[in-house]
Amino acid sequence: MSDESQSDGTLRDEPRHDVTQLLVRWRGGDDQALDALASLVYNELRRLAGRSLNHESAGLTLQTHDLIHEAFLRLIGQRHVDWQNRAHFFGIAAQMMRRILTDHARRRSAVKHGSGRRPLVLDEVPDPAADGDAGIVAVDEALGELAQENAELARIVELRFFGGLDHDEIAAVLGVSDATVRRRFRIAKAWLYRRLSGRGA
Amino acid sequence: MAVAGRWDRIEALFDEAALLPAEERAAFLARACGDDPEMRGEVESLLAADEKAAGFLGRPVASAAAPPAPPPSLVGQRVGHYRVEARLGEGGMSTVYLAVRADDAYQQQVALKVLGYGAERADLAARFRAERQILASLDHPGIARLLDTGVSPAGQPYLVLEYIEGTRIDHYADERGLKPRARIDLVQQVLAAVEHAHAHQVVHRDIKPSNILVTNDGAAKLLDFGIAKMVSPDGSLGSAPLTAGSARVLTPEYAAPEQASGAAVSPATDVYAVGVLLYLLLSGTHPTAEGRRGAGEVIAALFEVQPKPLGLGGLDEVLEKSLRKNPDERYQSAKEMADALGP
Repeated sequence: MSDESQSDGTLRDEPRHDVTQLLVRWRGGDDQALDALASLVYNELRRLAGRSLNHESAGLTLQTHDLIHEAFLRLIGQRHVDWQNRAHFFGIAAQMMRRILTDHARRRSAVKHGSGRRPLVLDEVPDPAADGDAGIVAVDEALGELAQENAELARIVELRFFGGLDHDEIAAVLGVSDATVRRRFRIAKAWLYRRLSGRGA
Repeated sequence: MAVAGRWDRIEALFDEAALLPAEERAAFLARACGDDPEMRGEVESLLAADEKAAGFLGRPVASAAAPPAPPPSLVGQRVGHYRVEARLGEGGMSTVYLAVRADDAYQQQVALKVLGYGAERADLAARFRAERQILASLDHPGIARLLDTGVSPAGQPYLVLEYIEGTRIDHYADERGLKPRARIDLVQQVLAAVEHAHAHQVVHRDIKPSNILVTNDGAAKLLDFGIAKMVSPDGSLGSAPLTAGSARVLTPEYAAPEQASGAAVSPATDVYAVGVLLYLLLSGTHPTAEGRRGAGEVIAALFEVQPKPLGLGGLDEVLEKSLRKNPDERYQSAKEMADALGP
């Protein structure tokens, strides 16, 4: 671990390089590094998300995007970070966010509605983000089906809807162009809309 | 492959048609799809959905929905033979209740540990089963005893454990103003329980003050084998690889370097955690994470910071050896560490 510090020119002021190292190891094909990384990111996001509950009553809503950025700053810091590492971090964080949000929504809607799940109703301006728990769970499940059809389309929606990333950031995570992200997000949305409005509920 | 190729074709047709004025799309698709009406239907229905989906998924889900709410309380309900009386606390994957046997002549108090959070997740349910197996193999006065297991009507697996009425080890030591020797005695009790677990091929992996209660008469009891794992019975202790699930749960302040880096754990991993505990009990400060905030910083410090000697002579040697970064350089068993702490 001293290699990185030395090439960096700073020996002591490097409290966060373990996360960067895990990212590098993961990109080198080390699955255990991904596990450790997912664990760190998951815990940090859970902690940050839990804290935002205290603000909920005050009407303050933290967006997932802000949470992920904050987790990034806390775990990696503002120092120069390879853009690929940054993109990979965001990719993992969006996935962890999806898990946190869906677990929570599923549990809470089970509390509210008993074991029967309330079907999602798509109105004129469908907005699962505003539709609360049922919307989140429905999108999560439909995404699972979309992933069977085409995994990368599902990934784009995951990064956008659960991670709050914008098109540029998604393009960086996936290593494709901004235009490709826009184009593919459109058909992914159509697919999900059809799934959720038609046969879905 | 054929399916993937088909989807690529659907996507290409959709993209092209979406750029055309609505009235030209039908003719375009009729031409492009030719003798494949199924594909034409697929693209048309996606285009129809696209018309309405403009604002759909337009904004990300807000994180205000994120904080996990506690699972519904079981207080007042009956679970198996037990009546649930009060909620004692929440763990990473479970809720612990105080309960009494409801159908018995004698009123035995028990701790009921119910898998709540993420009960729908298979990996957690599997870990819960593993914990049950592990606990069933352990019988030691310093380890909370497993009395029963079952599944609630709502499908939540639960463990019935010996109820320990006690205080967290660090609070206990401070509230009673214990002298260093008395604190060391408590740690030696913990080591005896850990040694018993190791003899049964069990590494605890999550030893920390909140997992150790001390009863009124001064007996230390180790709780929560939640992330303990059986080490492989055929190989030596610690040769078992970490499974995917096990790496996800760790307490950064008490994790040993090999846990944080995802390497194999061994009895020396528990020795490290007991070393942290002892250091905290003797000095009130953390050996590596003092002043660090957030999991990333705490874990980075774990690799970088060498614990400061406390000026306690021989005890410093024990602390130094139990807190070595390299597990091979630590005490290789809980007993070895207990012996080094003196009679």
